[in-house]
Amino acid sequence: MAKRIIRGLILSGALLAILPPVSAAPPSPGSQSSWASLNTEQQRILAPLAEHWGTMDGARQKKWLDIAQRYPQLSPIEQARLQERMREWHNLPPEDRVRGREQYQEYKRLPPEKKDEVKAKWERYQQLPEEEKLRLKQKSEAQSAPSDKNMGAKQ
Amino acid sequence: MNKANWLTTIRQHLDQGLEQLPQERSQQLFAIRQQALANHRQQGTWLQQTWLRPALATLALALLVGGSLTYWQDQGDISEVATLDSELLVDDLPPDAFTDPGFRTWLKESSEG
Repeated sequence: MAKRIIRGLILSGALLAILPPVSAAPPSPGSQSSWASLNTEQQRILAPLAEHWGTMDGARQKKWLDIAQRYPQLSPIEQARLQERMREWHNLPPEDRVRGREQYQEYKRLPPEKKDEVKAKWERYQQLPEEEKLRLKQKSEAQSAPSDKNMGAKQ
Repeated sequence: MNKANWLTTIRQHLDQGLEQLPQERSQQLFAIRQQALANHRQQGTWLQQTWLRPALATLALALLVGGSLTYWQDQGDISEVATLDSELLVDDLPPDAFTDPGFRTWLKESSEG
């Protein structure tokens, strides 16, 4: 009998360790939270997304809450950039965000001098005539493999 | 008279009574007993199988653990995407630099040329 109780306690402990926290404050993936349920600090950081908050699924809300949690550790310049860019990023089609993340991961792996080169080229690209940019875009679309177009959507 | 003796006496009386029953009654009792046993076996076919309870418990545990692992996997995926997005969104380069397909093509062209 005592052995059964001990076994039961061990099993219960193991289950409690792996079970999702029932009273976790942030929403679990799939469960939505209302804008009003966010605290003042979260609302201040995520203000650019306020009007879209109600239409986001639980996983995307959770992602933005995770980002808001990291916000205090950013420098003032980075904080400003984040808030300036978050709405535009949110409004992108999912496949564009996936592509952006992939490109960014490749960029992150570059040595510092190559990164500087890419930054300089981005500046020069900005100066190109619109027709040239359009040509490049069309060329890219023609070259992109079908698998690239059908990339799965993530948050 | 203690309890064991008392039970033995009762049993002896019942056995004697049984022996004195007419054969027809004995057969009826035998048939009723067989029927009751058959009913009991039928009811116990799936609910009272000895393997069923541990099997159901294992299944429930597997579902619970599976569900929990999926939850933590989702949490991990979201956290991973949040890390990447927060880095991307504060980089010196704007997100357009990573999402603009024209820029990617131009980079290739300029490096080839």
